[in-house]
Amino acid sequence: MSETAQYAAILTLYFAAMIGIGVWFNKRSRSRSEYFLARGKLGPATIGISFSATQISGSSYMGAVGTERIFGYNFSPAGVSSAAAPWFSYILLGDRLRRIAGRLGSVTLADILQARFYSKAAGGVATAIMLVAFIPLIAAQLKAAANVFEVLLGMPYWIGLVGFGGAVILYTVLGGMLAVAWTDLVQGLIMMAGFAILAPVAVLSAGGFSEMHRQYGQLNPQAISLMGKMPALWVISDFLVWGFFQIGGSPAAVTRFLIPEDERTLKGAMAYSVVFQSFIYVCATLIAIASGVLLPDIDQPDLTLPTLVAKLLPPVFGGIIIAAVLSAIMSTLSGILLVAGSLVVENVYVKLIGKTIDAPQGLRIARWVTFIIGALAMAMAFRPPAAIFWIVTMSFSFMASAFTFPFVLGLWWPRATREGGLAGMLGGAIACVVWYVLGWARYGSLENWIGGIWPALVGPMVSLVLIVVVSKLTAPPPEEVTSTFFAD
Amino acid sequence: MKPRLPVISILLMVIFVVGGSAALVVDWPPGPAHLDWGVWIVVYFGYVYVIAASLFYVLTGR
Repeated sequence: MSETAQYAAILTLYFAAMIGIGVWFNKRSRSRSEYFLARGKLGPATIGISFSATQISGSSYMGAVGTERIFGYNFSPAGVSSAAAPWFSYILLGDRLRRIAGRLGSVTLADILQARFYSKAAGGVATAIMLVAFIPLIAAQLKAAANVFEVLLGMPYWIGLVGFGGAVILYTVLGGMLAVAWTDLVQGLIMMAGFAILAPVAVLSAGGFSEMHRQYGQLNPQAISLMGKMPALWVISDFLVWGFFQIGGSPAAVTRFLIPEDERTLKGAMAYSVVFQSFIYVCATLIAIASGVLLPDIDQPDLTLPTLVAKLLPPVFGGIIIAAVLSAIMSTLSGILLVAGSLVVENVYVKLIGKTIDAPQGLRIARWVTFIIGALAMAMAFRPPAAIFWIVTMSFSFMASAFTFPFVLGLWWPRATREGGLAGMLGGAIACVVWYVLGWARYGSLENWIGGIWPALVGPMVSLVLIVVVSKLTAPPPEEVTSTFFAD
Repeated sequence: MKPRLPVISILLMVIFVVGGSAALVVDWPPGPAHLDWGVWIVVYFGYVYVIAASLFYVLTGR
């Protein structure tokens, strides 16, 4: 059997298993709320790994190795910070969101913002910002997966797109959150297995831990320390942004906090998330440094991981690594797809348009909407317009700017008002886009920013100031809002 | 009326963010395995710190 045929056989089995999980959970949801959230039906390991697998996209999993191979330990603080992201998110948002979602029966984060800032406009703005960021992100994840098939397996782009996209959309539509979370768990374990196999092999092939660093330091002397290859502000910005600001930047992952019914499950989930992400990023660092020694001349960073796999591992293990890369894409894609579906049904169809639907009808609509969003994104991914890449590049910073402080202050500061919340969301998002545009005007690129300062730092700071100042200048929130949110 | 803030965890977060950022700009002396002490402290000890701090919250809720 040829190498490609072996890869294809492993991946076919893998896709069949994921669709099987979707079929298995097809009849388990009785209402759209169960379909979108599965509240109280998932344990700590499933919630924890699902949170992390949704947060770590294919580009983080594969791209982290390629980028770190070039920038070495200048890039590693971003990895440590990424491992700390669930620590920040669970403690600052997790338990508060869980309690309030239980009290209000909320299905989406936009529901919570709408209730906290006692305004349909707040829910509408949050829904609009998330959908503007999510739908191009779904298309971009589909495109990334199709590229993996094209580059690594030599398959035509459209076969990868339809096969991969079809499998993810099918299991998400069929099984809802139960299928998404359980497939995320399987995919997370595959991501761990992939790196657990590759990291020791790569380090030993590069001469062992100490010798590998000696050689890497000779080849790339500026990248063996925390600073040198990249400007100080770049390294510090990365360290700050990838941890704390994931609070607002990853609403699809944060939605997992609405699932558990008790504190114990949530705390257990946090432990799983932090250990999982620490393991992934430590392994990514070791693989990246080893690849800097073993593959010093490779041109494209994204090809580092597949090239290393082809060099060091037999096809069966190589198939596992490719499955791991696809898993990272699948878990992010399914999480975003389901949350986008819930926003359209709950916040647009029910709350904004004002439709009343019963449980069976709601479940049908939830499935159809999720399917249509997936199909639209797949159509976009066939011939992606240039605007998609702009939005995808900005999406994390855009959401981090709009949501980080409205969530944190909304959940911890009773004095935050409707006007302050709206000003924070809109002002943060606008400041972020303006900072990107200023960088683009000066450098002609969305990846170079004025003073080297990330828009994901500028937007949230503007948002923070606006929430505090505008809230102080406006009338306090009504008693029923503060008692719902703060009477613990 | 206000919910109880997990003060110790928030303090640990401030130490992580401020201490980590400050440690990035220090000129560290060489350490074991051809790495300087900065890499050992910020990167490898950083993961241990985050895991330990998370477990502290899981066990104490503070």
